[in-house]
Amino acid sequence: MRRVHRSLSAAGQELTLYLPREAVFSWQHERIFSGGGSGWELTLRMAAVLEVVVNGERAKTRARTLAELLIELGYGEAKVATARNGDFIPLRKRDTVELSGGDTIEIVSPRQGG
Amino acid sequence: MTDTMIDTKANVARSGAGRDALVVYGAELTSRLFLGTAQYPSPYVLERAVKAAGTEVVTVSVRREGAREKGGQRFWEMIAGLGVRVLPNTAGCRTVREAIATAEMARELFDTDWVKLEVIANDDTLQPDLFGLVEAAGVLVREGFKVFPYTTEDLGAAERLLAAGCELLMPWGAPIGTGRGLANPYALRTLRNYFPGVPLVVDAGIGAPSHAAQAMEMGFDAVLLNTAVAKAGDPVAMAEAFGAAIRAGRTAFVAGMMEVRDMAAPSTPVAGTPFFDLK
Repeated sequence: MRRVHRSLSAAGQELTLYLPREAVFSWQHERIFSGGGSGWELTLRMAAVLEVVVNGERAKTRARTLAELLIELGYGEAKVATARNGDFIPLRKRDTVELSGGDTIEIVSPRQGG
Repeated sequence: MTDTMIDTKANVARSGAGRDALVVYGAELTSRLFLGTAQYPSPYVLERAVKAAGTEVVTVSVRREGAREKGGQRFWEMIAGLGVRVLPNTAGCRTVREAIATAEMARELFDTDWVKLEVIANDDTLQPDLFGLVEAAGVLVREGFKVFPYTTEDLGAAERLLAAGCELLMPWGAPIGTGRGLANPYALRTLRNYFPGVPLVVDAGIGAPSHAAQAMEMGFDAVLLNTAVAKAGDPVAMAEAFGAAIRAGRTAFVAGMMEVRDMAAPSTPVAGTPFFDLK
């Protein structure tokens, strides 16, 4: 995980986050900032954005599992089979297989063959 | 040729009385033509070619699918509608690991434990990597697959594949897509005679119906081909031609062919030839 730069204004009215251009997070973040006696509170949630490789192409995703990734990419109920990092992931395990940054995912379907 | 006669008995015995069926992994097949599904001008032509060939087994593959494509789904529906068995391949796999993962994905997609196992050694010849093939076959058999290994004529590799649990072998005729026919008939004949009871399917390199007939006459149990039909001027007619050639070759093998001789022998009776004793 890369370093996150942040600054809070003294008045607590503005929040500026400076993130590296290619910031990639590997898990869900939630931070609560509060102004102490001045009574304000800000909850900042950052969905984990993973960079993975899908069928040979880099992709950024907020999906946590392989099943979520398929939905996010629009495969829906398509007849596909999957592999992660070279290993077959059966349909029943897509819900439980959690993604990590840098994973290579293969999504295949029936095709003509000799 | 004497060896061929021995094979004939073995084959007829295996095929049972009255029927000449090929049994692979418990499945009884009447057609001895396995047909590939790639490179046809259209799905419609493929569909008609499969019917014209009378084939009962078609090969298929798995390939990357984009989210917005629905090609896989459409292809699957078309194949399912043909009512034939599907034999998924691991075409293009270069390592044992790739081949195993591909076979596993294919098993889930096509709902079959049959797999045509290809582990490719190099791009120019697409020849099987026999070491990887034997290793992958062992793993897949343990995982419950029924492995159809795409191999060469090598007897040592053949023995190891059988020891690994393969119940049939698919030696190449010539490199995939070349259409050269049986590049090494002597080695193929040796393989046939060495394993008289093992179903052997000549896979790849077949270009003409005569090549397929030749393989069947030699006693091979079936032929698997794709390009020769798909790339023909009229794939449907060519599928029919291959079906006929394979039936002819098979019938000839079972009938038992005459011995080849070096010197001529008259077929018309010599006795009673007019003018025979006039010099």
